[in-house]
Amino acid sequence: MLLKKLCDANAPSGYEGEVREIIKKEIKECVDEIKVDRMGNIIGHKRGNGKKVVVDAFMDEPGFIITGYNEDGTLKFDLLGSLDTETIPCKTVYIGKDKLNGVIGIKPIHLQGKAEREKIYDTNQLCIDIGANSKEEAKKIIPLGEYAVFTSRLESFGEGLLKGKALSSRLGCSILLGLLKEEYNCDFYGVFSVQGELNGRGSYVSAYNINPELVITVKGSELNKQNKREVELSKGPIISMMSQEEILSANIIMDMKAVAIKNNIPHGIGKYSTESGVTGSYSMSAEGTEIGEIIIPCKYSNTSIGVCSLEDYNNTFNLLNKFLKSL
Amino acid sequence: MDSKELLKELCLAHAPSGREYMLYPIIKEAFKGFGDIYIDKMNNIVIHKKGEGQGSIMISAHADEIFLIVTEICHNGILRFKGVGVDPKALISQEIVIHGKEKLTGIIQGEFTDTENNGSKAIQGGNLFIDTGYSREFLEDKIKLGDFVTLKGEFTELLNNNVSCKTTDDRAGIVALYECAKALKDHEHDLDVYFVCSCQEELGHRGAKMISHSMMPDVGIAIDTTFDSGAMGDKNRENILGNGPIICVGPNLHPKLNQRLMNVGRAYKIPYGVEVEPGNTGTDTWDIQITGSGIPALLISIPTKYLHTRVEVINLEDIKNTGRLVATFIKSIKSHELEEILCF
Repeated sequence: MLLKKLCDANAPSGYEGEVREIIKKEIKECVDEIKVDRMGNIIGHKRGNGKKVVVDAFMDEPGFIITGYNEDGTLKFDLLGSLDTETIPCKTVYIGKDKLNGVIGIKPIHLQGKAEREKIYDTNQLCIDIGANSKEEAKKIIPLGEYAVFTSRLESFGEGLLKGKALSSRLGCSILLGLLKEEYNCDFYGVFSVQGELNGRGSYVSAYNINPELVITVKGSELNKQNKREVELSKGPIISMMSQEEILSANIIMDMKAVAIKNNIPHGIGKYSTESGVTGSYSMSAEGTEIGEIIIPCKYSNTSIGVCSLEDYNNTFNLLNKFLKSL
Repeated sequence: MDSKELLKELCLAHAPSGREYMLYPIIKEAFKGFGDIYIDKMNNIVIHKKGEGQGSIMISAHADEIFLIVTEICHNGILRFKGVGVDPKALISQEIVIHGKEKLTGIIQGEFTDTENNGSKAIQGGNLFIDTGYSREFLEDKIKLGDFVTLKGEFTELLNNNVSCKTTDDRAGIVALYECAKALKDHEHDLDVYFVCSCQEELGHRGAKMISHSMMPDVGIAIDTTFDSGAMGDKNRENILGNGPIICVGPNLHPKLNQRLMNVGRAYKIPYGVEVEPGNTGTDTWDIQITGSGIPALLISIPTKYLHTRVEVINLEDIKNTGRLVATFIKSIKSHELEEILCF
């Protein structure tokens, strides 16, 4: 399953290589031209006569970057992208291209004072343990700046749900791959962007290079962090009204809604996007483009193990596909 | 069987306190040919290897693991739970297995409060919940209140023979029993040897109490895990992974027997360390010692990082050396010396 291959690949912000290779191979047959720009964004172009349209999905997942060594041979790290830091302890990670195993431990509960028991650890109190015996040994094996990601695998969960890592980015990538295999009238650019977790930095460059008339970004996102127990999935994708920086084009929202209703695709409309991201890059960097955003609802997506609905994923594809066909 | 493979199988299996029979098939298979194997009413698993002379020795490692228990089935696939021996911080965003009518997978998540002064977040166990992804109706059919929940493990090999998994506490101890049994297999020894996979240690070493009482061995040794002395361990100890098992010294342990154990280690060049426990060792040994008319007891521990989490780290050589040390110790004791060694 392609979605599984994408989610299980290791590619945090700035180190998107592993996912880039999968996607390049996958779109080779179905686009007129593949370009990888100076940032590392992949642009798959399907020529058409209509509007210049971009669908953008980012490739990177949140992860870690090694910043130093402790005397006992453990590694200091910082975050790449946005992670809910309370979820970091007691996880296994893969470090670098060679996927060296590491674990992030904490002090045993028996040794914690009462105050320490209830406090969430700050990232700088944690470390990655690779089993090295000394600082010197660790230095020889892991260079500074090496990346690490969680080891969670994409698997089915509950009733019609999926659990895994990297859902924010790879659900969108997988949908965009599907769209590139369809035929449309518009002049269609599929952009798989880098550094989406870092406020959509990759998309600044693709926006400038392509200068599209219409942009739709697609990603997974956690709907409600305050009241996690109440979040219900399988209610359809969300058509964003506004993202962090900008109010999205009212025309697009109306058109998408019309397409959804016409095709009986369940959907919601709202302001859910909590992180700034790719949409902002297009509004800043392209000349007066219209922008829309579709969100695949997720739970716990900024953690080691997120949850989404297979039905929502399929409906997001259907909605985007029908919308692009309608242009 | 390779001890790493056995450790993996044992660690990835689930056996919360009171449900140790869930481990019995694996243990029965692994210890086949080492002696008579049986499980008692309370789930203590015993492997009995006969000796050539008089006297008996019991070696115990606990089979049970830390666990959670379901306390409420809510709507939207959510379960409430209580934990035993578990740090809430170690549970967030973890996958778990719910042992209902069938095994279900869940994810633990929580709602976190901001602490007043420094902006860092706080957690109380009660704010955590299990998300199953199922409807309430489905859950009510498959799960009942009081069902056990255990962590879903991942066996990870690290550098220098270190491995990481859930429940190396105390499945590593059972592997040490296995190594010991292997070392004794084709050798004659005077003492009757009872290898015990004890139950309910995490609830206060209750299984050790039961089995000691029914067996009344002349000597009892518990094999358990202990803290390491690293940055996230107990800095007041000298316990380093890879430097051998740790022999405990203190009032819970028999001084002359301990001397004998260390002499054996030195004579046979089996590396070991020493840790001091001035009171309760918090292990099976604590109960073995004062059972019936008293049982001279020892404690050998395997240093472990990040105890009671899903990523406990332990060293395979330490496990093997623990088994070697105990086997050599058993072989060294002749029936006629027993009285003298144990006499104050």
